[in-house]
Amino acid sequence: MSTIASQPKLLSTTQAAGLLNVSRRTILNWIEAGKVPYVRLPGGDYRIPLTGLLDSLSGTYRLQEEIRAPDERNSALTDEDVQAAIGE
Amino acid sequence: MRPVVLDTSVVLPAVLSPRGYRRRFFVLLALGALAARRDLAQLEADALRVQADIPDNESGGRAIDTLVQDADARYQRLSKLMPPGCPEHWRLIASPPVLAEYERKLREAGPQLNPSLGTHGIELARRQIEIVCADVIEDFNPALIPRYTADRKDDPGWRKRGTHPTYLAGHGMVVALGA
Repeated sequence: MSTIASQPKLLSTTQAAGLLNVSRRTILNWIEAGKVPYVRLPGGDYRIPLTGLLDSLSGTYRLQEEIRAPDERNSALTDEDVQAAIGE
Repeated sequence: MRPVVLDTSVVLPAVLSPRGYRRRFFVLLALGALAARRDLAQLEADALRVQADIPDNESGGRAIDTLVQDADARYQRLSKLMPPGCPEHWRLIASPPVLAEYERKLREAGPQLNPSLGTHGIELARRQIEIVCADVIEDFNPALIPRYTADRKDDPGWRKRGTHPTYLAGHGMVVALGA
């Protein structure tokens, strides 16, 4: 499954669980706790927007610091150095 | 939207050397990714509302409008740093085989450039490129892609299948689609 698709995707709980590699029960817990946006269908199934699911995640992951690390490591490199190393 | 297909020969210099025109193009793709995320958040919010308006359906959970606003705020933060008139519709498309090739080249070239790069550094560099991807298409079998021929009738092109934009090759074979 695409992580981000160019078309809107409303996921079932099984699809959401597969995408994040968690159990379906975990997704249902998040729904019950109001942590993700959802629509409940008459049969009891749920639909969750893909971006809403991803944007609801949180953690200790610091994107800016992570991007800065390789940039600082390679700050002295030029395009010529890189092209010579990759042989193109 | 103007899809840009990941080319490892261009992306490697853009990621590894944080300067030059290639790097600027990389930042432009990051802007496109944020714009794509914002647009998709809005589309999904609309789709969720349509579902919620159906009798007997019931919406709940975290407010979708807040998430849409957050997506727009992320786009605006980078957009303000870009030159006036900077395009936001260049969107990087990748696939698992291309990302794997990128990582392989990184493992081969990385230690030559910086012996301390290590496995963690390579993972960070791969994550950089994944972050600026507007779409990573589903895995596919490269053997299903038709061979290139001189026959213009089987040239690939953008088509629509129903309401979904679909990339078709000759003989009606689907190569990739964003549906």
